[in-house]
Formats: sequence, C-alpha cells, structure tokens
Amino acid sequence: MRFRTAISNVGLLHKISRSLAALARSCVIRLSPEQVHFIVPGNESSTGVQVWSQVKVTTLFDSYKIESNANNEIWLELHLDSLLKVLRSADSSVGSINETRNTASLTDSEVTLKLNKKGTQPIWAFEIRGYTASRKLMSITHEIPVKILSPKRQSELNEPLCPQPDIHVVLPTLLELRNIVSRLSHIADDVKVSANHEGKLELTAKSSRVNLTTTWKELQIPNSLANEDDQPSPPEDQMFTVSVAIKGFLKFLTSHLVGGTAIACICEDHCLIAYVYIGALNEAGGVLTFFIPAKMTDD
Amino acid sequence: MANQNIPVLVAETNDVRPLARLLRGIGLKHNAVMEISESGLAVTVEEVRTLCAIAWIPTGLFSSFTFNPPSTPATFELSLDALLQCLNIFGNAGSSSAGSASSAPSRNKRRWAGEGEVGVDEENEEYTVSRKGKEKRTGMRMEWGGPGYDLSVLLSDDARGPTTTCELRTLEPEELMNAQFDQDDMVLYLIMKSEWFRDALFDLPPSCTRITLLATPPRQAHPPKEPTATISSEGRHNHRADVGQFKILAEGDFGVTELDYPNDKEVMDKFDCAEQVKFSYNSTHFALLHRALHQSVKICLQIERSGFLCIQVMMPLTENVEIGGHSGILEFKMHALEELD
Repeated sequence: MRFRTAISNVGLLHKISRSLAALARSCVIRLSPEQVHFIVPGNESSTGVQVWSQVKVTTLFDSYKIESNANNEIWLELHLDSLLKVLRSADSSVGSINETRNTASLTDSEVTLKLNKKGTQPIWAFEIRGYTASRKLMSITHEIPVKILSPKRQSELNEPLCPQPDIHVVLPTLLELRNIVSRLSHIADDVKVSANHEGKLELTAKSSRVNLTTTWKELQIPNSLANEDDQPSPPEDQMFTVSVAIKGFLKFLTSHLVGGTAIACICEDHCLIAYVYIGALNEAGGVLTFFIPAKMTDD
Repeated sequence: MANQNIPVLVAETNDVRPLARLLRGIGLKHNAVMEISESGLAVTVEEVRTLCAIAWIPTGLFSSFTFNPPSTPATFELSLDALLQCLNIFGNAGSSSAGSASSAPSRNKRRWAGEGEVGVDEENEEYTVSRKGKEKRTGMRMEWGGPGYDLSVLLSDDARGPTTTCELRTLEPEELMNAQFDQDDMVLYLIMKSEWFRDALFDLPPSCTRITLLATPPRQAHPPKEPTATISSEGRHNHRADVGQFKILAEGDFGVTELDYPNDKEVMDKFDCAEQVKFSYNSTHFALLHRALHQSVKICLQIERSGFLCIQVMMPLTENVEIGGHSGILEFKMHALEELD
C-alpha cells in the first residue's frame, strides 16, 4: 500500500475540509487512481446529513502515486480537526489564505503528502517546504494518525438510495442563502424548501409568532433527464416541497466556502440533495453531494 | 371571511434601518404593543410594570403611510423579536454596526429582541465584512388588514433578489400601565447631547444598584471652601453654583461615582430647574437605556414633582423631515425609588 502526492491546491482542500468539519468530527476518504472521494456517512453527523463527494485527482493533487492490492484504492478515516490544523498551517505557508502575504508565508513552497507508518499506527505525513523571507530553506512536517478501513467496513458504507428527484433547481449564491437561513434559525427549527419548474424557490419558516417565506424567482432549472421514462411532466407551477432541519441545512451551506454553483434536488418528503460543484459546471473538477434527510411535518 | 375592506395600514419604506434602529432601542422584551394612528406608529414595551419604553415612529420615516381608522382602536400586540428578525432577514438592519456599544454592558445577560442567541451571529461575521462597501438596503411594505389579521411585512433588498413575506401574529394587547407624564407638574427639564449622557452611563460602577439624579438651579450660594481645594477647583465649584448643574451619582462597591454637568452652553441645550431636585432610580432600568442611546443625538430628561422620570431619546434626522418633525423618539418612563434615610 503506497500513497504519495503533492498537494497543488492547498486552499481548496482546506475549504473542502472546513465544509466537512461543520458536519462531523471525522470523515472517510477514499483514494482511487482517478478520484478522491470525501465521505461523511449519516451516523457521523448529528443532523443525519451525509456527504458523498468526488473530486478529480488533478483538481487537488499533482505527481499523484497510489498503489494497493485492492484495485489501487485506499480507504482511510481521519479526524477532521487534526486535518484542519495541518491544512491551516499549510495554507498560511503557501500564502493563499490572505492575499497579502503574511510573515509566515514561504516562497516557492510546496506541500507533499505521504502515507507512512509509525510503529503500527498508519499516519498521513504532510511536508511543507519553502524558503523564508531570508531565503533559508524551511521544512515543516505534520503527522496525523489515520485509520485504514477494512474491506468489511468499506462495504458497509453505501450511498443513500433516493427516489427520482421531483425537481432540480440551481440555487442562489450559497452565501446569500446561508445568511438568510441562519436568520430563519432564530425563528424555527425546520424550514420548508419548495420549488417549481418556473424557477421559483421558497423557503418557509413557521413559528407561533410569525410565518416567514423568502422567495426567489427566475432561478435556472437545469435540463433534467428525469423525463426519459415518458411520464407526463408535471405542471410548470406545481410546487415540490420538502421540510428539513435548519441546523442540517445550515451545515450544508457551510460549503459556500468551496464557492461553486450548487444545484438542489427535492425528493418530496424524502430528502433534499444538494450538489456543490467545484469549478465551472461543465468542466467540474469535482462535486460535493449533500444528502439532507426530510423531517416529517403534520401539515 | 372575505373582507374586501381596504387595509387599516399600508406603510412603505426604501430603507428599514431607521425603523429597525428605533425598534431595537426598546427591544428589552420580546413582545410589544403597537398602536397605529394618523401620526405614525407607537410601539410600547413594559418591563414588570415599572419601566415603560415607547418608540414613536413618525409617518415621515416611511415613504408612504396610509391609515384608514377602523371602528375599534388600531392596537395589537406582536412579537417584537420576530419583527426585528424579519427586518434583518437580508442582514441590512442588523446590530453589527452597534459594535462596542452593544457588547460593552455585557453584564446584562438579557437577550434583546431581534438578536440571535449568543454566539450564533458570530458566524455571520465573515458575511458582514464581505458586504461592507456595497451599500444594500432593504425595502419594506407593511400591511395590516384590521383586528384579527396578521401584520404582513414584505421585504426585498434589490429588484432581482429574493423577496420575503412575514406574517406576524397579532394578539389582543396586554393592558399597559403607561402612566402619563404631567408636563405641568415638572420640576426639572433639560436637553443635552446623548453622547454626554451615554458616556456617563458607561462610567457608572457596575456594582451600583441606585442611580441618583441631582439638579441644582442657578444662582446658588457658593459652597464652603474646602481646605484641600485648589484655586481652579474652587473656581469651578463656584462657577457651577452660579450657573446651576446636573449631577449623576452612583454608589458601587468601591466608592461613589459622581458626574457633574454644569449648565454651560456647550453642555446643556436647555436647563429648567427652579429648586433643587434629587431622586434615585433603579440602575438596572438605566442599563436598559444603553441600547436606545446608541446612534441617538439628543436626550430630553424630565422629572415630575413626584420623581416620575421621563427620558426622551431623539434619533438623528433622516432626509426630508419637515421642520418641527422628528425621525423617531424613544421614550423611557420610570418611577423614583423611595428615598433611603
């Protein structure tokens, strides 16, 4: 089992990790020759939100080498806290956190990552190399313990099955959305998310004191492949609705850090699925998929 | 019930900030009573029947204000907390600009209406910062159909952006004490910059429980010479005795804090005091004034012969206010504590 790579986009890896850290304490990373999968299974997060994402190796890494006797795949689990600490350090060294270079930043820096063993404990070793302001070579090494997942545990991790989504809609900027949803969280515990094929999206929060509905209009509806099976398409103005916990919704919205386009799918009374694309939609470097379970309400 | 009648109230504005600012100033309780009249809105909050806070919101604060008086008084109770949350839904009416002023008196653990749980709003810091520079305003349309109807508030921050509709439950108003202040029975009337007064409140010792207001009229006998007094301090004392002064006293665990305001032109805009006045008030009630004083320009302090205190806090004038008009006044009324012997 060998794994060694240079991290070409430390900033993005940092942002992805921060989004995941909002959801859970630990996450599963499945490394394969072409893709890196970040997985937060449902039992890991308190709100039942799951993440199943895939990112192209080339989006994050460079000089990527992986070998194992299981299809050249490695599954490992790690604590996001420790990963974040390392990435924060790496990010500030590379200097992408702040546009203005801080004193800690190094020039000509590169960050490499290796799977190592320390005694019997497998570790991820990060090495940050670069030159200080006085042109001295500096090398910083961080090691974090990881757990290699057994094939049995791997087979237990399955992406949730969802019915055919009732509607897809391109979400407004996640930052704008998060700002509003975080204010709704003072009002109610759940939010009703509804959308129709006219491009209307509604968020409704209800409490004993106030009913609040925020409406977006003329959002894009992506050409879905849903109508392949010749079902009559629903009326344009029919609203499809799912209620989710605001807490869970907000956790997904932390992914505004990643900053791509996001598409939401509503599976009525089942779940809300959100795809957050890394980079442009057509040449996506990857996609983070969030499954937010529906909350059953009386009305 | 198909009530085709015209709504009792339709009020519109392009910028909810002045409105939110006024409401936040009296946000010491979560529920408030709103009264609609020809001259605007009056929102009243009472704290355990001892402190009464009213926000007078003039029609001038709205770009349009239509009131069709119903047969019954246009008064209802609503959740002030929820209303403030709604006004700030797009983040343009928040208290973030309040900054130091709101966080300083943190010994007061009260959660103010319209404010998130402690800590929750901090997450938004990033957002607030990123928005600075591009000035965005939230426009509002408020409508009330009459008794039994919800108060409906429609908000949007730009033409292409999202819109938010809020249906605020209205309740039968709780009975208010709202004791009237008798202008004819007044023993002290002064107007000064609220900055002066606000700074004074910040300087009071946190451990004090009573705040004493003392006013002496002009042309008093000079105080007896103190052996330790310097020439300049003696001159100051004599000057104050000549022109009259207003004094705030507070006794804390570590001594007495005394703040003097001489009746000088640069301090007092107005100072009417015929005889010496001395009354004490509950300091926790004074602490509730902090929020209101923030961003205000002037205060008017009046005391009745009985010690009943009325402090009016004036907000800065917005554009196109008529002469003699105002851009909102916050009024706080409280009774004096019994004198200690």
